[in-house]
Amino acid sequence: MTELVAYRNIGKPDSETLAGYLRNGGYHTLAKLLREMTPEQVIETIKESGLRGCGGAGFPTGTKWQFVRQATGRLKYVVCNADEGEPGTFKDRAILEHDPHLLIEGILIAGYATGAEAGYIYIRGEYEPGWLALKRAIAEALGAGYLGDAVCGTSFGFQLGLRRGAGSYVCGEETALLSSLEGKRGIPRLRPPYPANEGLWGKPTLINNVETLARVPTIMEKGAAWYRGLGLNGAAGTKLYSLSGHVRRPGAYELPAGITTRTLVYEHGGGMRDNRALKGFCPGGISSGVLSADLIDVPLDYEPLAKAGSMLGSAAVIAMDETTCMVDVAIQAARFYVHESCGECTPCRLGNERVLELLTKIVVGAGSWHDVHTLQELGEQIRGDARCGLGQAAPLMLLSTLGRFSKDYQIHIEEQRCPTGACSLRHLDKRPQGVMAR
Amino acid sequence: MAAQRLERQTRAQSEAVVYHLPPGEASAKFQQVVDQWREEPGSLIEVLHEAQNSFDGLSKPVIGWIAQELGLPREDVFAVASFYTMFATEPRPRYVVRVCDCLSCHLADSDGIIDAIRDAARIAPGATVSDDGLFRLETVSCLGLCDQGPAMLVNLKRYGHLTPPQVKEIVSGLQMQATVGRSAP
Repeated sequence: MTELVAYRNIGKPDSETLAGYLRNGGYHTLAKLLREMTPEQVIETIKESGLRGCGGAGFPTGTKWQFVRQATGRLKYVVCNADEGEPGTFKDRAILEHDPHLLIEGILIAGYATGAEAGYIYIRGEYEPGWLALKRAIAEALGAGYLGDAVCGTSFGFQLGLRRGAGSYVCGEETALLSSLEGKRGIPRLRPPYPANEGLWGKPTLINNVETLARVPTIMEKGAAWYRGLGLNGAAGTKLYSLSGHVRRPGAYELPAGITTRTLVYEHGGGMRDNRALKGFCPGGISSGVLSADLIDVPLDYEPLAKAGSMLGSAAVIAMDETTCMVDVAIQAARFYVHESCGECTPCRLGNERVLELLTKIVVGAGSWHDVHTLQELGEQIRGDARCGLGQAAPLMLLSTLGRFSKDYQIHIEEQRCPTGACSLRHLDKRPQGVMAR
Repeated sequence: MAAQRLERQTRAQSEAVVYHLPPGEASAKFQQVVDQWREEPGSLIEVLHEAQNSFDGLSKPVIGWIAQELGLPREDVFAVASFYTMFATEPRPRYVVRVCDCLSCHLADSDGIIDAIRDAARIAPGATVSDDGLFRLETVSCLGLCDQGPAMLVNLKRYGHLTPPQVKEIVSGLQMQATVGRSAP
């Protein structure tokens, strides 16, 4: 049985209310730490725990906190990124809806450690149940003195605001999120300056994902060494895996960090549906690209996956069986990026449209090897030249299918047919926002 | 020079336009909401959410009024309203159906769900609004319901593990609701 950290209260009665949270020992760690620890000690503990950002980039959390602590300026912010939007990712949803106080406690500890006295939770507009739960929780915490001018009766004060997004994938990128929080179009900013020095309204800002912050109270309660020891294969702590695709039991699972895809899919996910063979999988949402089934024993951790040519990202594992056409998967990804590109930089705005055109050409049986060559070049250019991390990740699905599943492309080009018959072209003309409609 | 003068003139004229909300309860309520948010920095997106809930879509007069109240240029408010896919500047039909189109839902045949909605709600190929004006069909990038795919939202209500027959049932249920709603006094 895995020790639960981020999901420790999920499934317990009234977990979303303050009363339920207090019954499970909530806010106790915060109250103790405000009286007994210095901010530097808190940062040191987080550093030692090996906690890394769970939004996708995996940056060491303690180091990020220290940057914000050391940044000059009296006014600082903590921003919680609850704009969960990477296709395949749904791990934060449960925390937002069923354990909002855990998140608030994590934010408060982050605020104390970094010297911030105000913060925001930015939640995607489609997550209405989560938004309502947070709204209630913030009001409850304010009423009970866990938020406001004197948190837990100490001299530490913290104001927390709640803001909604309105349907934009790019706002999950931290600098685009800041633009959106300021009430503007969600356009990414060039870095440097980094948000730790110049973030929200130009002030030093800590931006952390929901899962990252939700881990903080338990780490502070049970200690860095305890947390570190929960991981496998050299990884620290636990991880929330969003498992979806052709598996029997899709769902969000909290399991030791560093387990393999085989363990996740076959032990926890119940194996592949209809006993079909696994063809490939994305370890971290569609931005991570696809790996072939022979890499199933690579630990789901940052470095091993990077070595295998992919990334852990948000640990959204999408498993695909032998009926999947990888050109179709590449099309699906390209369509997504065409739809979600903010339009600010040319490689992403036009590059992805061109990728989609060429892939469509291949799928209808009009493609050539020359097109494949162009796709490869285009993909590399987008990866190298796009303005933000999301744009740079856009061609990874394309490049990985070209590299690992070239057979699928070959059959489309040389035999003018789909190897599995899964290509969704028959639907393209009916789509409200597809290739043809744009 | 003449062109510049003309531009300045038109600009001055358009700035002189004063926007009013349509009279009624919805407007009075919305006025209160805006008063709550007025002092909060960067609250425009929240205000637009509230506006969209209070009125049918973000029409030009509504956008103009918000700009006026918050002291922002009208272009900026429009720029924000048009950037985010949840905001619609055209009139909003009674039901906005958002079908998730992420890879996980795609693998679970979200395309079949889109077809079923088109058939049941009578939305012509290439069109987004149903013949009776009751439904608007949109695809969204990911609803975060990948464990329940294929999934969709009707307005903000969630539906998961969908099958084409279920979709037909849901759509006809909504059509029924709308007829009842219309005949009520």
